Amino acid sequence: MGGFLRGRQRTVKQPFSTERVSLYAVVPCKWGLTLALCAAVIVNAYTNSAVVGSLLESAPRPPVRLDYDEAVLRTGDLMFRRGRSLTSQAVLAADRRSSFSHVGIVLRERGVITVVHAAPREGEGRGGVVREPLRTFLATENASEAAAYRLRAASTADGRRVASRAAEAALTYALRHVEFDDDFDLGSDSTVYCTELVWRVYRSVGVDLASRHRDSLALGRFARTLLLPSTLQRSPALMPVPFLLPQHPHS
Amino acid sequence: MSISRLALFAVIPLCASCAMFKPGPGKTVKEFVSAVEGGRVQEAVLLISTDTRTRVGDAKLRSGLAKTSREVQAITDKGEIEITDEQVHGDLADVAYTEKFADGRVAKADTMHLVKENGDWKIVATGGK
Repeated sequence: MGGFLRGRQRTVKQPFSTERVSLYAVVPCKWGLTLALCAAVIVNAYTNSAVVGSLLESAPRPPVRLDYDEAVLRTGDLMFRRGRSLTSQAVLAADRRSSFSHVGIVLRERGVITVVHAAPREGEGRGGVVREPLRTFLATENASEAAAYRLRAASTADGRRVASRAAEAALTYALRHVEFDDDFDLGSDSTVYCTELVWRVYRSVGVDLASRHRDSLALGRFARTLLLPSTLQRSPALMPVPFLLPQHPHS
Repeated sequence: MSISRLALFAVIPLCASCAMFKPGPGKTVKEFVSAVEGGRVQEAVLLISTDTRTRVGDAKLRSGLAKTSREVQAITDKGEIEITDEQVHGDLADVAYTEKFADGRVAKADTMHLVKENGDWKIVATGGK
């Protein structure tokens, strides 16, 4: 009997640790109690392994560092990013590369590239309209995807001047430390959110990046009409700027 | 103890771990409203669809919901949320609900749209105009 069991142990291959429990099932039992309990344990082991498996499948993938060529960026370019928190879920989205949750405007001064953007206060972060280095804006912990867009008209000297004036207007919001707009109210510029900032500064120089399009956000009592980054991204006045390099796993 | 009772013990873990006890779309709406009212903003965000979270951004959702939560918490005569209709069409659902004041008057009547993601109902909250 013992030899039989050892032989069985060598040949049985289970994807989870039910081997010992399964062996009990071949031992004759009188009341069915052992069989019932073993069935319960096997079921538990199976379902637990299934749960663990599904958790592993949905676990966040290793962070991927965004590599980019900042030499191609100009003042007034729009920099879109998607945050890190949705990395694993976002791969399920059909239109993942066109779904960005945040946007800022690029400033290039003496070769140094910064991004002016409006962000909510979170943790130690100051929030409101801030100016920060591009490498911080696109740091691994902040961005899982990114895209740069440019005013189509910026291929001309006049267009570049318009883009520069828009970026300078954004900078004035940062210098005034304008707070983040928790109400997502497009009717006032005393506080602004990310898309509103970009839309306002470009509108102030005669370019409406959203035309009449508005997005709606309906979450019970939290219902707003607002502009989403994807709306700006679809603006016919903009064109994509290829600045991302092939991605490499973060070391 | 009969074998049938023992078999029941064996079946319970299986049922508990399968999808048959996962909440329906109405339950998700109730949980969402409850989380916002209770100031559990991150819990509320996790009940929102991936598409909406991707398009709006978690940080902005947390910021907006936190403000709404503070406003709702300031209301002293909060009543209950009641699901008035629940229509499920495959992986999509529409849930009509009313929020009432403590005296029974309707404070808000609305419909939420939901989508099933990995077996869980999540609230779809964005659209264009």
